[in-house]
Amino acid sequence: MNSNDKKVLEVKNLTVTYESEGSVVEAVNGINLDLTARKTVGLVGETGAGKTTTALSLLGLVQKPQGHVKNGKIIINGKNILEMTEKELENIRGKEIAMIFQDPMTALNPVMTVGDQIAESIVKHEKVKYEEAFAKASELLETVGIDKARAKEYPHQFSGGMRQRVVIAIALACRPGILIADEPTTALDVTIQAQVLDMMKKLKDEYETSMIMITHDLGVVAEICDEVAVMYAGHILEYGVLEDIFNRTKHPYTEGLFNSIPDINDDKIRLVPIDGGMPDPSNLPKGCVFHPRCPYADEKCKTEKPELKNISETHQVACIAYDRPGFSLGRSNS
Amino acid sequence: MLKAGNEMQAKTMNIKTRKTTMAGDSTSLQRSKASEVWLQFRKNKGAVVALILLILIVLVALFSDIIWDYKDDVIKQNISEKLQGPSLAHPFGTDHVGRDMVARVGYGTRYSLSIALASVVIAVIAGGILGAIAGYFGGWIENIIMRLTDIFTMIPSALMAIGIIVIIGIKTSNLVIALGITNIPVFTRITRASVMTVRNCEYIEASRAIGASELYILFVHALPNSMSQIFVQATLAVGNCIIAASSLSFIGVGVPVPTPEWGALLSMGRSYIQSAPYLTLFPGLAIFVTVMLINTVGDGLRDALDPKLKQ
Amino acid sequence: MIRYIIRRMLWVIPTVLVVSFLVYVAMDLTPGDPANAVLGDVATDEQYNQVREEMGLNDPIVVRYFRYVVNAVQGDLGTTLYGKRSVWDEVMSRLPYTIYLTLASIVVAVIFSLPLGILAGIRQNTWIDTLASVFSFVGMAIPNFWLGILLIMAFSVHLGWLPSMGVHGFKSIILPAITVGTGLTASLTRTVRAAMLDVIRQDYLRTARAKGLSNRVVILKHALKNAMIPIVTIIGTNMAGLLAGAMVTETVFSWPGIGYLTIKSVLGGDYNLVTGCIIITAVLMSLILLLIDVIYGFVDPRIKAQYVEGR
Repeated sequence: MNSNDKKVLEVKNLTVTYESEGSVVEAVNGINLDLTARKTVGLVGETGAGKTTTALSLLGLVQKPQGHVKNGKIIINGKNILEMTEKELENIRGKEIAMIFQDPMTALNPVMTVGDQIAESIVKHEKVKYEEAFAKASELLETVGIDKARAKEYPHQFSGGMRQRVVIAIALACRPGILIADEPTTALDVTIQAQVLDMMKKLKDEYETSMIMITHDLGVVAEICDEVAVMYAGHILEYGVLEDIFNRTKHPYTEGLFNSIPDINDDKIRLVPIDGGMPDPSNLPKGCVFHPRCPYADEKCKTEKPELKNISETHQVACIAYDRPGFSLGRSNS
Repeated sequence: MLKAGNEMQAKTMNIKTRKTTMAGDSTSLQRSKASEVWLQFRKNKGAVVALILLILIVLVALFSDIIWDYKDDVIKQNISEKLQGPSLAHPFGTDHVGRDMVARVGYGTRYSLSIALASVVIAVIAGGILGAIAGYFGGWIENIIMRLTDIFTMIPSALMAIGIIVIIGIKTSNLVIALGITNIPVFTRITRASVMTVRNCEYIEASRAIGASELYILFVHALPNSMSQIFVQATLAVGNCIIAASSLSFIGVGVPVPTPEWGALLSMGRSYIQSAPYLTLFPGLAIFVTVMLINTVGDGLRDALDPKLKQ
Repeated sequence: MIRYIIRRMLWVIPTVLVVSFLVYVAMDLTPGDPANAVLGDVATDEQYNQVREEMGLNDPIVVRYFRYVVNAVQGDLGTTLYGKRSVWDEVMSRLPYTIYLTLASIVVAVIFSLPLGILAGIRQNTWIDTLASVFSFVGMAIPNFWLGILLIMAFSVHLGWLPSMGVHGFKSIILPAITVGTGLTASLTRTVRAAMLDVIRQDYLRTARAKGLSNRVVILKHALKNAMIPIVTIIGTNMAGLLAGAMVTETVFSWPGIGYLTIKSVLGGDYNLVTGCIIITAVLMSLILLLIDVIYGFVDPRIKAQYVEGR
């Protein structure tokens, strides 16, 4: 293990719940996640799988009083942030770990100039004067492809793509070691998506940042990620390097995800959507959380909760169907 | 409008029957909505208690002439018992000419409530008609009405009411008219807004398509839609009018003496704040409590009509 | 921006013209004849007609109004009925006191409502939230003049801390400002709370937190700046009510402002003075509303942008 393989972020057995008026929503259920320096881990799943909650808990931003981080450890650069005081957390946010939010239309404060919104972070963490921070903020705007003269403008004067660049500039302002990108391109036009993604990739390499990319878009994953965790109903069902997930798919849910995207080279294959919808998070199914929608499920799947098990050095899957002799997915047969 | 009316008459009976069923549906719909609102309202314990207390106050107002004799209890002077502090015989004390304050404040309920209620009725009717006309016809009619409404709201209501009373004279009925006029703009705005939103709805189109007259559409479809909002606003306006009426009486341009309106009672008691503070305390308390109950009921109503708004 | 303000100021002119015309015509309809007032009851018809002619009272109302406006622009609003002083001077000497009282009550309202509303908003359903809602209920239902009397009873009569009437330095403004400001404090507290509840759920607050900003900075800088928009709106819509409240309160505290003057002139039947008071109040109101529009531009850059584009 050389120094480049240093783990900058370790999530161990993280459980997050939201409680309101008697009902308990289990948003994240005991997940484990490792992020190696300068790598990108993709967190993939449908809306409501618990991806954003996971991301927020990494910054200690799970909304109280409803949200509770019940269990586990989140270790950033060797320190467990769940044991930190609010003050210590504030010093880490934006400095060691930063986040790019999903919707650029709502993520920026409408009554502050974009330059101020970037400079704020620099003033806080680098203890410099406001003028200096604002100059730095202007430079950053230039870096994300916006004319620095526009630092004095307000968010409503920018297009959606431009605003997302501003959001990215805010996140990168203090060169954080870890960057969490929560569906950074979902709200953008397709043409803009590619530009923004390219820029993020470039900056990430330039700044030597490690990244967690949250997305439901497998195309984005293929383009930018080194490792992938497939998440469903607060559980990680499959975890591996990019090739494992794409070429050696093991979990029925992952297979379902792939079957739901159209194949541009073969329009004869019909799309196979996954049956049903996300389970009610306040009343998760017993056994495997995916069994009600799984085409391979049997009686055992309804009662026995699968553990994430290594099937190769890099690849883990949580599916007890592999206990059956000779079991394999339709996708790996074709 | 006339043309549409003629067209309607030219249609067959068939349409008329359809129209009646439509109207029937809308009333049953309203009834079920009313009971739903009541169910929502009942959940708010504070509002229910306020409603019960308010009903008691209204009963006092309704039966004050039975409870007290106006000549003997309310206006007859009895100098030998003047300025007595609160006691068992006179729980609110007696005023500077020896009249029992319980009787005066109690009888005042009738004046204060009816003045406020009548003003709001005037305002709702006038404002409703103006707003409906503005919202429905649009164009220059709307422009004139809304501009005037804007200008009206710019003059502080107390000042406008004073001005009107100066012109038409100090009389209880004139006080009602003045307060009514000052409250018109609120209801003009509400009615106009809801008529405008309804104006272009599909069911209005549908009803026009089957030949309903414009007036019919206005009264059967557009206005009922704004009813709930108007009702809530009217409730709150009654509270404000009680305060406004008593303010005007307090400064001497409201009801003529010796009417036992609450503001007038307060105005009189003001000369005795050192020797007989209870003379200002109880009438003021009567205004304050009544208005607070009305506001609580009004708020409860609003929440019940639109539970989503509640935070 | 400056062009917008100028354009907006030009709008004040027609508004004031309409208001003043209505007031002028209305006052003309009032019983009471200026010529009679000048001559007294003993005068021949000939004398009477001569005086009417001299005073220009026989001209058509539009002509008289036009003359009034021309004079008004030059600072001449006629003379008072009694003592023949200049109405303009009389009103202008009172104006600063009313502005002082109004501003002081806004300051009182902001000082109390901002912290209370913010705390109630960010600590929803705690004791402070309950306190805020009880306070705003009480504040909205309490009649101005009664509150004034209660404050006088407590702080002037009983404790002897503060003066109960007139203007004697800073201490004099405290009770009147609290009296006038209470209503605004109540509605502002509600508004601030609701605005906070709304803003606090916005994504951009999460962005601010993710930068590592402390809770205090997030609330006081990011949230409050956004909440200012509805707060300014509410101050604007409450201005007319605030001025009305000031009028009544001025009489309670014998505060030498326009309200007190208006009511004195109404009760004294001095119609020239009444007309002058109402018109100047309307001008004051338009200027305040203009000021609030301008403040909007500073609070919300999106609105400022509209001003600039919409030249």
